[in-house]
Amino acid sequence: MTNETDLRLEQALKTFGDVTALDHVDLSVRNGELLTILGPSGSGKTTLLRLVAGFAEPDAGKILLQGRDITYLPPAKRDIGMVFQNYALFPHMTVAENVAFPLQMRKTAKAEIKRRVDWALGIVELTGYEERLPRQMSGGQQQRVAFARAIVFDPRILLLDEPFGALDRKLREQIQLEVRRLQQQLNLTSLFVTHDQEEALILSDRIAVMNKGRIEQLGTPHEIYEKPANRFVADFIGISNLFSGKLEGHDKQTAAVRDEAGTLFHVVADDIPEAGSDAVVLVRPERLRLLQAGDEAENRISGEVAEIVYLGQSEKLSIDVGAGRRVLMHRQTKLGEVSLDVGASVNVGWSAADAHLIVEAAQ
Amino acid sequence: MNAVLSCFRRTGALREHAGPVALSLPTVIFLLILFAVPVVQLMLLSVQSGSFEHYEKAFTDELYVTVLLNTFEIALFVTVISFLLAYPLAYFLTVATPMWRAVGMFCLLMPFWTSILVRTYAWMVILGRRGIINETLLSLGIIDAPMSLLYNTPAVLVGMVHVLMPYMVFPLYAVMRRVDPNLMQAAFGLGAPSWRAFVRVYFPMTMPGVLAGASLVFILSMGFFITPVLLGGGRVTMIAVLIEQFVTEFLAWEFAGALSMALLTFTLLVYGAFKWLMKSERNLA
Repeated sequence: MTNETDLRLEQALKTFGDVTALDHVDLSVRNGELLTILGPSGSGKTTLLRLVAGFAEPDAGKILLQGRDITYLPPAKRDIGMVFQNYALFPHMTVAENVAFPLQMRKTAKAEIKRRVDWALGIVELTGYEERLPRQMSGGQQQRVAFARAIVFDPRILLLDEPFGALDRKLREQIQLEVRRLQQQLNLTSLFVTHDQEEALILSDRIAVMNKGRIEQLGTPHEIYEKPANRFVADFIGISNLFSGKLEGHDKQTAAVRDEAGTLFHVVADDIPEAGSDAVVLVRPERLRLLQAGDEAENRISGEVAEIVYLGQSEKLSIDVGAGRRVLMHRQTKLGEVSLDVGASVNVGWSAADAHLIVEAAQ
Repeated sequence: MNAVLSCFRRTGALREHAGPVALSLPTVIFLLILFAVPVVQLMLLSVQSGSFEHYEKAFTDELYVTVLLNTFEIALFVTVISFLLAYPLAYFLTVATPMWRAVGMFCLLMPFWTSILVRTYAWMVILGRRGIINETLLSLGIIDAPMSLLYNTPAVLVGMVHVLMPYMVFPLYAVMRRVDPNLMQAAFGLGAPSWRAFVRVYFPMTMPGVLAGASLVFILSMGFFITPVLLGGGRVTMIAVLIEQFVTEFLAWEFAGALSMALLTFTLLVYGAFKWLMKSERNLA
């Protein structure tokens, strides 16, 4: 992967009546990377994809593909491969005809078309299915035909619009990994749109989390999960325990935050604002541990087990820690370990390095 | 009737069919008495003399062959013109806003609520020597003498297309509504200019509607009577007109029967051809 930019949106604005679907969005997709646009429905992610594909035009701003301004170029001239939500395979054409379609539109020579179609079907492991019609194939196979059709003409970038939504869970995981492998193998710059955070974490090089027409955070899956930039991202990705309060003080790397119920938390952070600022402490449920008598922890809180959900390999505890606060804990189950009952008194703790400090901009 | 029903009841698997069979009986009896029996009688009449002389005449006499071919030609023209007009209209209805769709549907359905006779006379008022078109062109000084717009094949075509177009629009509309709009976007995205996306994706997908509409219009055209009589003014002879003349003017029922059989056979052949096309289309799509 190089750092060269393949696709760039500059101050893209799109409104529908009173609704701002895209609010002056800037985004760069690097050569060869798979960048995911993740967001709830209505966040503007589909609008962004449609602008890139050319199915809609922005009200203002620019879209550049490999340095060329494509803002107002018709979709047919963009050389972009796209896999649609419901595949959008042409039902009256065979698999081979479907895959050959983009090449025929480019007036590729017959022999070359045959060679490319064979290659693309080989890539998705559908050699031998050339004469089938889409409706004679399973959902997973149709998905692969759609992928073959999107890559057969060597597109500049690949767009994926929630392409796994219609597949059942097991198949979805398998196809996701397959697509990821092919994307890397072919070094295809890809823009992937989804509302499924797990999918985004599995597949992406980088994730752009969108909300209300803006990109809330852009970063690697690791950054997005471990260091969410704000409350929205923390809530949207994974499960979070959030304590909001005020910054009391700090030494070099550790900030002290007292939450509204008066509990003091310590959290390791890079940039620590001045005391008195509003701050939120985030700790993920799997970072919590049960403290036995005599155990040390930089952060500790005591409470009563309110709910237990047993998941086999792990269990989820919901702990009532007073003042209307609930703490969620996710722990591995071990044989021989004392099992907890609802109502048991427990102490939970975590280290300052396992927590993350979110400083909210003054609103 | 009860015997028939109990016969169905006895076999458990067929019991569920007893209800539908009973419900369809009135229609079946109605059609048997008023349609099948007269048709068979007419057919028998045509071979009453024990020979096929009437058929020989119908298929060898140049006059009747010409009329048959003429009928076929007019039906073909009506079908093609209806298709050319109905296709964009049906497309408009699928993409129109609900308000415009309601307006379009109303305009399409209106002819159905008006007698075919009234509509045909309306065309005579429009196309006549002193009709709206001639009067307007004369008063504007575009022409010096009235044109003869009536009593020729184009007049018959106009009248027939007007009556039959809804039969083309509705099957097309039904099929077009089911075409996934994503497919056209996919075609554009994959590099197809609008017209190629239309030719390669949209049109083939609406083919079942085209065939259904075309078969309806064609078959109905073949037996058209009032419009060719009134707008053709005796100069445009379609086979139904000829049959009527043989029955009411020459009282030659036997020959009318033979001509009817010829029309029926021809219609069934056309119907079979369309069925075959639709089937191969379905195998393809």
